[in-house]
Amino acid sequence: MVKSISHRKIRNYDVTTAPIWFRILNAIILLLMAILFLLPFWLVATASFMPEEDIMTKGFTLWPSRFTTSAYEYLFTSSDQFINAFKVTGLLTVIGTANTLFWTSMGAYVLSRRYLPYRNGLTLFVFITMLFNGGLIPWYLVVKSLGMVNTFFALFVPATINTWNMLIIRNFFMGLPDSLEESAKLDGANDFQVYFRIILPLSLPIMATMIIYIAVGYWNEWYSALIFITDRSLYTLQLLLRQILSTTTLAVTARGGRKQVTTSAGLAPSESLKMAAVMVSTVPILVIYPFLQRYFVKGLIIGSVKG
Amino acid sequence: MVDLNKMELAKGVSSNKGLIYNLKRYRNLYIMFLPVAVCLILFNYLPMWGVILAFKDYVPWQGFWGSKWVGWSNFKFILASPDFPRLISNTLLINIYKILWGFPAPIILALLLNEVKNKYFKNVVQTISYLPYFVSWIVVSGIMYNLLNTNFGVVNNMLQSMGMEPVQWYGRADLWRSILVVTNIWKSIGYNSIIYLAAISAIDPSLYEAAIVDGASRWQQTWHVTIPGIMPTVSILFILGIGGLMYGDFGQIYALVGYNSALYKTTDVLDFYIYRVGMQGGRFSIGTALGLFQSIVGFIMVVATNYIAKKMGGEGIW
Repeated sequence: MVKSISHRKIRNYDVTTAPIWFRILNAIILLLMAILFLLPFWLVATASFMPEEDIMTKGFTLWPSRFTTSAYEYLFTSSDQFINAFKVTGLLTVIGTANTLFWTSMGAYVLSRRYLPYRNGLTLFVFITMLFNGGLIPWYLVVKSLGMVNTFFALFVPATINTWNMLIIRNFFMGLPDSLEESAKLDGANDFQVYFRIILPLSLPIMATMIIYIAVGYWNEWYSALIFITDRSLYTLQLLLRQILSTTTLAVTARGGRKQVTTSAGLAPSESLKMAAVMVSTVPILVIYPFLQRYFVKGLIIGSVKG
Repeated sequence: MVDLNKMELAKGVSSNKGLIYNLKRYRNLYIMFLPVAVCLILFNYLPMWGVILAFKDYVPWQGFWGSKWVGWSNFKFILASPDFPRLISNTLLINIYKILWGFPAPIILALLLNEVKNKYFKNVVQTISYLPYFVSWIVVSGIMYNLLNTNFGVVNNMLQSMGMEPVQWYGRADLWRSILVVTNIWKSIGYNSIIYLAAISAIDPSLYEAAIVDGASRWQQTWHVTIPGIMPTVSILFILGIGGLMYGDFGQIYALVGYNSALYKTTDVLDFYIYRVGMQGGRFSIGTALGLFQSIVGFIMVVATNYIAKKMGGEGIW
């Protein structure tokens, strides 16, 4: 209460002391920056709706010269690769997120119990993995020796434990009152019951934040796929997108002939098609983003508190 | 360091009753931790131990155990390799430029946002500013393709409409460090500014009040209250940044540059080299040795910066 009053007082001072020219300049700078962040997405969207012939003659432009959805139609009908990658990525996002969150938060709960013997040792055990790592090749060899290369499991099992998130969740659990556990224990609950029935339901805000972070991570996943997957049917969306983008364009010689041109990716990589592929793999994030962004912020603020 | 909570104290239970007793008494909690331990051992500790590969000559059919010990020869090979100076200087330079330009950027954005009094405007700008953080580098590479493509790119279109010569962006190695720095700032500035905004909002309002009573202008308040107030956060993030100096951003390099060897001169970094030559080229021991080198140098730099930061009266990460 006291805080909010003193804050308001400062606000009043602000209004009188902040020079008006600075505030106008500031607003202009920020507005320009906002445009700078959005414009690239707009340009890609524009290009994805332009007919191929127009791109060949005019290049990518700010406004579409003519409007067509043929690149999108082609993307989904020419081969089932894209739909397949969509399925893989969707499944990965759901399963990977559930898997990571379940084990990571349970570990975080254990680390948050102040009375647990060897707790500091366990925390150190987790913390060390943030300071050192064996590097790419030993990691690859371990996953390979477990027989996971070219399986769906390679995409999420090695990433099961997210140490950074674990420490954030631990900090949240430590902020909950001890009396919750005490009274449940007095009623005869064991640790599993305390965790699943009492602590978890009270932690929905942090869990929501974590789900979003982890899910976005899996949606954007391509690194593990690049390292562990050679089987095209297991490609994630982003990796397939990378393939589509990096195939050299043959469209100049086959002007307007989307049909004939196929390359190693099995898709006709005309320019608008590349842009449509970028759009399709970004749009899910663009759509849910405004609704979820407050959770992003919340999670980051919880995480940035040193503890 | 004896860590007891009230409940345990009330019951008169100490945690120092011997291993077997503790394991039994807290059985459930240890069971809950077991999956974490297994995963970390498998995917973090086992690879750490796997760095001994750096001292072997790994041959796939001889396997991890069967391969010969070769002592330091992998490291000698790396040091003698003509690629090594280029890799080190690229990795370091790109990261130093990123820190030089990219480190102050989110702080400035946070300070600017902090001056906005219209809550709605502030929210909208903020929300837009961290959107790029949540798309992958692959998507950014698509955006760059749209902007910089030699024949169709928006930038060359603009240059030509202004009567200038188009630029062969994907062939100009001299421009790419800047491009990497700019795209990195574009992608991360908004997100990183949230941390600083949180730090600013945690500053005790009475400090501002006192400054105002002393007649401080808005600028003086920023300089003498806000900036010192966020210094601990700045210090921690700076140390983490220094610790990462030896690590190139694999995702960024792979997505934006990829196998475009015309740009290797300025963009080839350790991480991509380890992947390209170590893994794809099958030179596992060399790749492992490079990874170990990175890890050790990175650790030394974190410890050293942490030490210096603390000596200078700043905040350390431990």
